[in-house]
Amino acid sequence: MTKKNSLFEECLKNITPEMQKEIDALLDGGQSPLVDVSQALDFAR
Amino acid sequence: METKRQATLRLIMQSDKASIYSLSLDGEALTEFEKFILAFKNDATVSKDFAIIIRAVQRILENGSPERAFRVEGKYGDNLGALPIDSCVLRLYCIRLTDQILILGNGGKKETRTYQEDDQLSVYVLTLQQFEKILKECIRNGTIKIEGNSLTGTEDKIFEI
Repeated sequence: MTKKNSLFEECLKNITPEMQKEIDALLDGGQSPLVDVSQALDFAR
Repeated sequence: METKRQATLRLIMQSDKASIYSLSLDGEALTEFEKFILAFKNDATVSKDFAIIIRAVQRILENGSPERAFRVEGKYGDNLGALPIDSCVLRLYCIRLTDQILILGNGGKKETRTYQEDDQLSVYVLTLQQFEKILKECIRNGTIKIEGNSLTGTEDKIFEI
């Protein structure tokens, strides 16, 4: 079950693996940081 | 007198995780998202922003459309958002219907403090807001149904917005 769009696919070709890595880091950075509870507790102690 | 526009909803991309639709207005061959692509794919001033938006859409096809992937736009209670989540000049407006269904509109360079201060961006947002209102009513009265990552009942349906 897949449907593709030729214009969109054409744009994807311009994103190199390096660019993709950089963009992913940027997009993930926009999310709420995950809190490691055990580390936070250690810090509190 | 205000002229109403006729919109149809087209499925433009689909994966196991998500379906992406876009609006086609007044019988135009291109959807709003395709118009956005053509307007900015060769614009060197926003090439990085454009690549970020394209990758953000690809990630939605890969993983679904979680709320955290979008900038909140529009009014309280509507499902309007924009890509990317990160601060960029270029914005693509959309309706995040569910975690698996996204409707892409048009977008542009946001060079004013708010989209309301930009006539063109206001039109894009208003079009999506009006469409979403009608779509919600169709879902409520059962003429359109959400089935997994698909909408049924939208084929050949004309929405007056």
